[in-house]
Amino acid sequence: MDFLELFNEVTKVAKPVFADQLTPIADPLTPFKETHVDSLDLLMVVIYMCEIYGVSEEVGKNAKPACVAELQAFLEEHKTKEPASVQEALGQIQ
Amino acid sequence: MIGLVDYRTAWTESTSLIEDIPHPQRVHLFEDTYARASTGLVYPPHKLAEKVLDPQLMKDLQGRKGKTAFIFASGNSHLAGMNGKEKHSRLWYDYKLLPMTLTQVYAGRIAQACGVKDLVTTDASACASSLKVLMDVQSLMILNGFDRVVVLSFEDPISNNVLQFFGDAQASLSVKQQEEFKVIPSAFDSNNFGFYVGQGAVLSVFESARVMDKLPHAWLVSAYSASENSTNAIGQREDGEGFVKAIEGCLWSCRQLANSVSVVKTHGTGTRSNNQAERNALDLVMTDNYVATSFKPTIGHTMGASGLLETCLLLDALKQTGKVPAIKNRTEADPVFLSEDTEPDSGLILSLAAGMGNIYSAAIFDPRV
Repeated sequence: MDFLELFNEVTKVAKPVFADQLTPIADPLTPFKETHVDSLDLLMVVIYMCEIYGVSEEVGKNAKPACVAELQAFLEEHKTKEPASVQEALGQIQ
Repeated sequence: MIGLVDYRTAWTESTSLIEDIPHPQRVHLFEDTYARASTGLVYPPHKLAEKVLDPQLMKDLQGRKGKTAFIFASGNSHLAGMNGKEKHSRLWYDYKLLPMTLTQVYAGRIAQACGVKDLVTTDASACASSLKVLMDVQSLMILNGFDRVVVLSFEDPISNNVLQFFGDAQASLSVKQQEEFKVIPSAFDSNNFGFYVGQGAVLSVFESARVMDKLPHAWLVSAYSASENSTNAIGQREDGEGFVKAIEGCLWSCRQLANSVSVVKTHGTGTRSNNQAERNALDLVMTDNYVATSFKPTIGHTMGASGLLETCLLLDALKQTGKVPAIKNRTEADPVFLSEDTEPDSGLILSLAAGMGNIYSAAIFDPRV
């Protein structure tokens, strides 16, 4: 499963409206502050991702990713499960 | 002049029975707002708001010129339903995104989506909230040079906390009360009384005539809010002092006499105390040539959203049928507190709302555009 694709889809869930008009992040090393993902979006995305990867809230609170790659590394380190597909992952948070 | 140029509403006539709470009661509920809420990742009040957050209108707002304010008339500074109580209730959930339950944070996000950069604010005037902010709309546009104010209003009415609070206060109609008194919701009626709590939301746009590029649905002529001399912050004076002060203030602000009003959209909860207070106030201030209705027996009490939402429903009814809808479940023929749909005389609309904390709001609209 493409983690970047998953991240961009989860970001759409976090955004209140116009989610389908967001420009997907293309490079996992692009700092969030250079993208459309603001701090509240990121807070929501991290919580959603922790749910998808089975990371407890307690552990998830320590995640302070500055880019998609850092979030992926954090989840790889702490995950207790992994979704089979983007669709399955989205089904867990919507 | 200020016009109500756009609005979107969400409400439902259908009811569901919530049984697994201390005061079992029927509610007007969009069942889909609670889908997957128990995961803690979906927040029912936001799902309710999404029903009026029309992407097309919001995108259109981004392109409109002028100085724009955004007001979230939320009724409270924090959406009520964290729902920590009654874990066995089907309404229970434990939402994991606490910052998103703060009304000003949510207002900021939605304002951003509407392209509003000049002012974002919230209002916590309980069930009067969406009408109370119309006083602010006038001030912003007349005194502060705003060209446009977007008003979003919804609360979290169907939640364990609210249903328990309203049940404890015997404000909403419980199953027990219905069985005991053999009643269904109505207002200003000798036989039926009371209300169900209901989910509802409204997104509206008020614009100054100087930037308007289309005719409004109605003109906002005046708005005024008042309090009353009371020692009970969750009660109403029987003589309707708060309603009287709000109506008189509203009429004075636009230099109109009561006989220019032909339709009153009452607060109309149908509780015995509101029936008495509001009827007394109208008897005191109004002349004979008006009709009055209430939407709460039809859609429930949508709390902070109710004042403006019900006004929009009245405008819809007048546009579609030319008539003011009757008060549902009214058992007595009455030419004023309507028992039948009625074509009103030409004139102004007076909308009323009341909220806990002794707040009373009135707004006057002119549907003749």
